[in-house]
Amino acid sequence: MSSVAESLVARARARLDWPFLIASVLALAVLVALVLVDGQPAAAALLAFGFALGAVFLKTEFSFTASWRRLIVRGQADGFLGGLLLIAIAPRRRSFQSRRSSLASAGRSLRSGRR
Amino acid sequence: MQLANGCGSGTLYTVGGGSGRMLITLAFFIAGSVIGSLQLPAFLRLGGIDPVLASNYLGPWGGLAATWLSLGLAALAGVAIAKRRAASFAPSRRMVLGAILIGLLSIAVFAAGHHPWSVTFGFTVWGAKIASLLGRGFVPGRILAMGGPKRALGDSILSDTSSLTDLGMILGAHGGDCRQRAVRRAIRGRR
Amino acid sequence: MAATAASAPFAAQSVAAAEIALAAAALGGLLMGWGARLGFGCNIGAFVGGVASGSLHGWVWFAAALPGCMIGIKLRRCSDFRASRPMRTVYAIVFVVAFAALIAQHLTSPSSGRPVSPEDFAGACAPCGAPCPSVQKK
Repeated sequence: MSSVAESLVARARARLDWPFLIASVLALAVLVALVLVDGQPAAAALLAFGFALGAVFLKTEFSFTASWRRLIVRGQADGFLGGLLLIAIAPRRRSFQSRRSSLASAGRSLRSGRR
Repeated sequence: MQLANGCGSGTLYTVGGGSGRMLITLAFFIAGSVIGSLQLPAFLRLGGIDPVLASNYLGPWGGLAATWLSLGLAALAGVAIAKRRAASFAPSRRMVLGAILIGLLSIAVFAAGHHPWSVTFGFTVWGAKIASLLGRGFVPGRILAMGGPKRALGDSILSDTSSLTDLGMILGAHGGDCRQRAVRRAIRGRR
Repeated sequence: MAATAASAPFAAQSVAAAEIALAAAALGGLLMGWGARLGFGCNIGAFVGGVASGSLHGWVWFAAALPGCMIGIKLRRCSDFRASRPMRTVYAIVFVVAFAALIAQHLTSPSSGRPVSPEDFAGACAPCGAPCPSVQKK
């Protein structure tokens, strides 16, 4: 009985691995700071969104691989349907062809803007 | 994907979650994508058709409708397969939540980067940079000598959208794993 | 779930099983990297991005990945070992070194402005910047 109680206490106390969490957030902060110093908020946003994506993937254990496997091996379509839901929400690119002309000039200005 | 137990995104969040085995997968993923980029021109020379985008033929709303129609058909097919094999097809609440959140975040990534979210190009960038660092005779290959990839090779690792989101994902999974880690450590500490 | 269940009794892992697991991981990664570059992406880039954009290549990717998955599943060993202490140390070292290298690389490279991807540049027909086949023929 005492070992069960001990394990419960241990779990309660070890709610979060704080050093790990802090290290991850600090590392992110360093990278965000580096790109903000360069004056690139878009880069900082991408890092932050990536951080959120990583956390969500891990917490929800959203795995394409397992979804494929379940569908093929057992005919279980839950993961596959989840993936389709994801695609339904995901944004779409307009077109490859039409982007070229409008972005050609953007590309030139990007290249010439090197420090 | 099956051999490695993870695809592009799976590799990233599993590595972040602390899997040493996935680190090996990631290393080889990076190497493979550089090799692939070197061979891509040869494959492209085999010929092909230009991208077929539904919106090119049906207009923007028609394109959206076509997409949703294809998704609906795929969903019906999935449910039919599941029913035939007496398997479940209702995603768990956690999965639905994950799909919605990831979908919303992919919108955010698109908004910040001005193009759809890509995971695997980041690996090519990392690999090409490592290769050029290690091998002085690294010939970038025709793809990497093109305007966009060439810039990706020469510039900072933090100037490519795919590279940025990938780095963020590894760190986010790292942080996100903090709870499981704590539990695992507690269990280990008791032995 | 199945992988977790399968890995439960691996308290005393045989060396051969661990090596097979690592070899599978390496081979899988290599194939994915190679395939992702030639296929213009993996699940996210090609499947999600392609289908969401109404592009045919998304479903073509899916149709090609299906048999590949079947083969992979047949070849796959359900082994997933818990990282040993030396592995954890290696992992930690790799992380720290990689992070330091990343910062060093960033501080020593030019930066042309907002974050971009090769597909933002003229002539790109795919996320990796590859040209369209019709353009290539010229």
